Amino acid sequence: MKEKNNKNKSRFLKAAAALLVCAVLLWLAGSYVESPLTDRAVVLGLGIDYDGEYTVTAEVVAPGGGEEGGGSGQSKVLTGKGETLPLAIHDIYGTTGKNPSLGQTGIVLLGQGMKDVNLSHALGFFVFSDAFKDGVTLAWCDGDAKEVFSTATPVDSMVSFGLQTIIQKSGKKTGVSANFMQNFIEDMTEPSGASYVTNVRFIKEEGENGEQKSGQRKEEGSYDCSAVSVFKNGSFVATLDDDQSRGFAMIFDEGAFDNFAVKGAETLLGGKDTVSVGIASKKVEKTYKMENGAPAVTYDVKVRLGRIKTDVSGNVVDFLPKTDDMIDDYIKNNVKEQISALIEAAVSASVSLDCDFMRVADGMYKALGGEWTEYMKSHPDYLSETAVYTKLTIEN
Amino acid sequence: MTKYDFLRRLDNFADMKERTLDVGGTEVAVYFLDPMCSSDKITRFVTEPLLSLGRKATVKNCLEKIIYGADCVATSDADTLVEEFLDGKTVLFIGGDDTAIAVDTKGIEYRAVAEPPTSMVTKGPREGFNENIKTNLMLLRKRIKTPDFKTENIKVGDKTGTLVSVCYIEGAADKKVVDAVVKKISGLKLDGVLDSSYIAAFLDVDPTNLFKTVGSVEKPDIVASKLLEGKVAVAVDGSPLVLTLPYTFIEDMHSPDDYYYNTPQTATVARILRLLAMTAAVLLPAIYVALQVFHYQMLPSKFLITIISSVQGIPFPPMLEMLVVILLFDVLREANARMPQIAGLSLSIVGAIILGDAAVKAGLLSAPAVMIGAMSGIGLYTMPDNTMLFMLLRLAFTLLGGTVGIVGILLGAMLTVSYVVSLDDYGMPYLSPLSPPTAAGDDGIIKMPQDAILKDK
Amino acid sequence: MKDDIRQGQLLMLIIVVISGGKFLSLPGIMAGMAGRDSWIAMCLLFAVDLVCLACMLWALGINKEGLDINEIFCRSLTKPVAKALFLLYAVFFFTRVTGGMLDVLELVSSSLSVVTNWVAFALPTLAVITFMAVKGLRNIGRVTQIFFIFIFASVLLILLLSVGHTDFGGLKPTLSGGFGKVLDCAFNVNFWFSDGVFLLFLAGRVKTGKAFFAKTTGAFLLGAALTVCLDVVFLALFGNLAQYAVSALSKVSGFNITGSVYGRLDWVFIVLWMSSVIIKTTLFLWAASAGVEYALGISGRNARLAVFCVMSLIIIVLPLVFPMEEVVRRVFCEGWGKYVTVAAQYAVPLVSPLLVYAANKKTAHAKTPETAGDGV
Repeated sequence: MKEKNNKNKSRFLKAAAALLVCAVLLWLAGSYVESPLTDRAVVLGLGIDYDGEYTVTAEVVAPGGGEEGGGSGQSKVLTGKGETLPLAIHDIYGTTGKNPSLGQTGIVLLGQGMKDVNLSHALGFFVFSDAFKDGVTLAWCDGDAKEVFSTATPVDSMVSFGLQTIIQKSGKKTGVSANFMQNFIEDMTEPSGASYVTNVRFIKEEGENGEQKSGQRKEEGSYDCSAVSVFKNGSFVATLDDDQSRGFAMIFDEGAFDNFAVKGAETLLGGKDTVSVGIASKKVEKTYKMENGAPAVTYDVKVRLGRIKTDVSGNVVDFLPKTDDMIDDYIKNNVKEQISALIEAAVSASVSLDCDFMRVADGMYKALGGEWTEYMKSHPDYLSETAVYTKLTIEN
Repeated sequence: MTKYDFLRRLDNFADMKERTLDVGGTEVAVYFLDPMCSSDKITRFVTEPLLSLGRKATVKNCLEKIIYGADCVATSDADTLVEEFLDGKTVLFIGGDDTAIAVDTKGIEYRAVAEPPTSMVTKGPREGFNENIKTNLMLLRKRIKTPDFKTENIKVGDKTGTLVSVCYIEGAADKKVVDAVVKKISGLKLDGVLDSSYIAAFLDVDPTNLFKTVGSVEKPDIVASKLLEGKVAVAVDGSPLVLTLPYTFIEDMHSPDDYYYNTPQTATVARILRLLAMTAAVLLPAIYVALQVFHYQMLPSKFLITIISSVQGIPFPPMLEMLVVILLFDVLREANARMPQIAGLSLSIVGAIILGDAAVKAGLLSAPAVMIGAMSGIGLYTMPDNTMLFMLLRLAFTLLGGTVGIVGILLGAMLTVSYVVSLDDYGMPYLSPLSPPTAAGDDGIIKMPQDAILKDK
Repeated sequence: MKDDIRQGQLLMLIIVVISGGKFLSLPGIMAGMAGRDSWIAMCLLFAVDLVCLACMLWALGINKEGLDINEIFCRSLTKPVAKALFLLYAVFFFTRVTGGMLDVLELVSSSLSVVTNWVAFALPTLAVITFMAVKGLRNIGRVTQIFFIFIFASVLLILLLSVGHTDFGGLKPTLSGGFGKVLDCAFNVNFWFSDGVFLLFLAGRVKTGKAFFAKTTGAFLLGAALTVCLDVVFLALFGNLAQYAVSALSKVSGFNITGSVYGRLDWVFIVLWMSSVIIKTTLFLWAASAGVEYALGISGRNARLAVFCVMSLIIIVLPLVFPMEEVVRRVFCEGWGKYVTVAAQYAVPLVSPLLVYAANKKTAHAKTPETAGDGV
C-alpha cells in the first residue's frame, strides 16, 4: 500500500513538474513581443516637411493597395503630423493602426521647409536607432517632400526605389555620390561643421499639348539629381548650381566622374566639331598646410580621359577600350580649362556662402591637430584666408 | 532423455511428424517439424542410410557411419534437444537409448539475395542481406577472406532463441568495443528478438539518446568496409539489417555512390549538399517564421513585397500556418508509406498538388509557406537514418523561431550541437571527424582519394 | 574521464574568447572616453594581456606534473589564500558573464527587433549556457570547433565589407587629446579585457601538441587583431558619433547595407557572431563555477549542477534588483572594484610561472596531495 502511495506521489510530482515546465514555456513564449509582418507598415522611403510642425510622408508597402492617396499598385503613401519627428511617425500608427517599420527605409527626402530646422537634432532620432540603417540615402528637394512622393518616373512607379536608383547612378556619372544619413550627421560634428546631400528636382513630363498626361493619378516625370545642397551646423545653406556641384564632385568625390563637351576639336572622321569626352579615371590628392600664417590647400588632380562612344553612353570607365590616341593636346587643354573653372566655381561658392563644404577645416585638423583648433577659434572666417592651389594633370 | 520425455515436452505440436523405422531389429523413432524441414533431406540424410543399414543401429554407429547430415549432434540434454528440434533439425531416438541424435535437415525458404530497395546504387555491388543469418555471414565471409575475421555467436531471446553474431576483424577493431558489445548482448534478458532493431535499442550506451548511435546496413559491401575500418558488426537471424558500431553522425551523410561512382570532388560536393539540405530542412521553416514574426527587415525590399503580397489575408498566424503545412506534409508522407504502392503514388500527387494548390488558392495557406514546407520535407530525406528525429527537431525549431525569433534558433542550434558533440558511445565522438577531427585520412565531409583512405587503413 | 581540451580547440577558443563580446557596447564606451584614439587604448590593453598570456603559457609549459589550478594554488600558496583567490576569480568571471549577457540583450532588442524582458531572455539563454557548461570543458571545446568557422567568417565578412566604405583618414589626428586620455581610457575599461585568464583554469587539462606556445600566442594575436581592426573601422566610419553606439558590430555591419534593396542581411552575420559571445559566457560560467567549487571545497556532478543553477538564478535575479550595468560600470570599471580584480586579471597571471614551479617542485618532492577542497 505504501509502495503504491509512493508511486502515485512520484507520478504526481512528475506531472506537476511537466505542467510547471509547460507553464514556464508558455510564459516565455508570451514574453517575446511579436510584431508580425502583417501588422506593420513597411516604410520604403520617408519624406519630411516642416511648417511649424513635422509632416512625415511614408511610402509603405501595400500590395494590391491601388493608387488611392498616391502610391503605386504595390505601395501607398501615408502621412503623419507631429511636433517632433518621432511623434509624426507615430501619428501614422494612429491613423492606420499599423506600426511603421523603418528598417527597410532606403531614402529620406527633406523638403524645403526643413530650412528652419536643425537637422543634426531632428535626424539624430534616426541615427541613434539601430533598427534604422545608417546607410540610408539622404536627399533634399526644393519643394515639399510630400509632393515628390506623389510623383513617379515612367519606369518605376515606386518613388523610393526610383529616387534611390537615380541618386546612386547620377553619382557614378557626373554628380557627387549619394550621402548617407549617418555621414551627414557625423559631418556636422567635424571642425568644418558642413555637409551636403543630393538635391532632387522633379521635372514634370508634359503631354503633347503641354499639359499633364491624363488618366493617371500620379504625376509622371523625371528627377534631376545632379546638383547638391550644402549645409552648415545642421542648417540648410544653399543649393549649388550645376558648375559648382560638378566642381565640388571633382574634388570631393573620387568616385564621381564627369563628361565634357569640347568645341572645335578634331573629330574621328576628320574635320572639327564638338566632341564629347569623359573622365575614365581620377585621383585627387589633397594637401593641407599652413603657409605664411594662413591655411593653404593643394588639390593635385590626375585624370585620364576617354572618348565617349555609343556603347558607353557617357559612363566612361577605366576598363573600356583605350582611346588615348583620340585625345589630342587640344582636347586635353580644353578639358583642363573646364575642370579648373569648375573647381574655381566650387571654391568660390564655398567662400561666398561661408560654408566649408569642401571640408578645408577637417583636412587642416587632420594635418595639424590641436594647432588648427586654436587657429579656427581666432580666425572664424578662415575660408576667405585660405589659399587654394590646383594642380591638374591629364595622364593620357 | 527418452522419447517419451521428449514427446511430453512437445505436447500439442500438430506440425510435428513422427516416423518409426525398424533398423536391424532396433526401433528408430524419427521426429521432425514439417514446415521447418526438407523431406528430401530427411530421406537422403536419415531414412535412406538407416533403412539400407541392415544391422542393428546404435547411437555411436549412426553418428559415425550412417547419418549423412553434415551437422549432427548427439545429446541427452532435454533443453538442447528441444532447441535443436525447434531450429529445424530431425531428432532420432534409437531403441531405448537416452541419447538422441539431431540431424540438420532444415528446409526453410528464404528471400533470395537481391538489391535492397533502400540502398540502391548507380554503380557498385547490388547484393543485399536477407533474413538468413548464414547467408548474411556468407556474404561477408566471401568479401573478407582473412583468419582475422572473427565471429562470436550468442543466442538471445527466451522464446525465440535468435542467433546473434558479433563480427569484427581482429587487429582492426577495438577489443574493448568488441567485449562491450558481446557483454551487452550476452546479458540481454528478452522473450524474443524478431529483428536487429531489438538489439540496437540495447546497444545504445544511453537509451535516452535522441540520435541514432547504432548504424544499420542492408548491403554486405558496406558492412565489409566498416569492418575493415575497425567497426563491429552485429548480424541477427531473421533480419536483413546488420548493425554496425560505433556509429557516427557523418556516416548518415555517406552514400555507397561516394565510393563506387563519384570522384572525390563530386563526392565531397554531394556530401556538402546533403548536409546543407538537411540543415535547411530543419531550419528553413523556423527561419521563415522568425523572419515573418520578428526580423522581416532582413529581407531585401523587393523580396519582402512579394512575401507581403502572399501572406496578406491568410487567416493563420505565421507559426500556425507553417505548423499546418508541416503537419500536412508529414501526414501525406506517413500515409504514403503505408498505402499500397499503386494507390500511394496517385494519392501523393493528389495530396501534394491538389491539396497544396487548393489551400493556397482558397487563401488558407500562403504559397511561400507551402513551398518551404515542401522543400524542407524533401530535404529531410537526404540523411535517411535520422529522418524522424530531424522531423522532430524541425518542429522544435519552428516553435522556437516563432516565439523567440532568430536568437531562439541560434540557442536551439547551440543546444543541439552541444548535445550531439557530447555523445561519445563506445569511445567514438558522435560528431567525429567534424569535432574532434580524427588523426588522419578523415573521411568526413571531404572525401579523400581512395588510395589515401586505403593507405590510412 | 578527464575533462580536457585539445590544442586545436583551445586555439579556436582563444580567438573566440578574445574577440567575442568586444564589439557590443565596449567600443562605444571607449570612444566616449578617448574618442578616435580609443583603438590605441585597446592595443595597449591587448599588449598587457599578451604579457600575461605569455606568463600563463610559460606556466602551463612547466607544469610537468599536470597539476590543476586547485593543486597549484594550494601547494604554492596556502589553502586560505587559494580559497580567497578562487572566490575572487568566481566574482570576476561571474560579473563578466552578467555584463556580457546584459550586452547581448541590448544587441538583441535594439538591433534584432526582439523585444522581451530580462527574465524571458536570460532564462533560455542561461539554460543553454548551463547545459553546455555542465557538460564540461571538452564539450565547450567541441562546440567551439563546430561554430568557429561561422564566427570567423562572419567577422571577416563584416570587416571586409566595411573596409571599402571606410576612410581611415577619419582617425586622424592621432592622439589629439593627448596620451593621458588614452591611458585613462585603458585604465577604466581594463575590466573588459584579460579574457585570457581562463587559461589558468585549464592547467593540467590541455592536450598540448607541437609549438604550443607559438600557436597559442598566434591565436591570441589573431583574435586581438580582429578586434582592433573592427574597432578601427568602427571609429573611422562613425567618428564623433561612435560614442553613442549601443552595439558596435551592428552599427558597422548595418552600414555596409547601403540600399534597402539588400535588406538587413548583416543580421545573419551578427547572429552567427553571437554564438561566440555565448561560448565565451559558457566558458566564463564554467570558470566561475570551478572557482566556487574550489573555494567551497565541493565536488561531484550534482554539486556542480547545483552551483551552476544557483549562479544562473543569481544572474537572472541580480539585474532585477540592482541596475547591474551601472554597478559594473561604477564598481568594476571606475570604482574600487578594479583594484580588487587587478589581482585576478594581472597579478596572478604574471606570477603564475612561479606558482606552478613551486607547486610542481613540492609535488615532485613529496607526493602528498594537499588541496583546498575535495573536488580535485
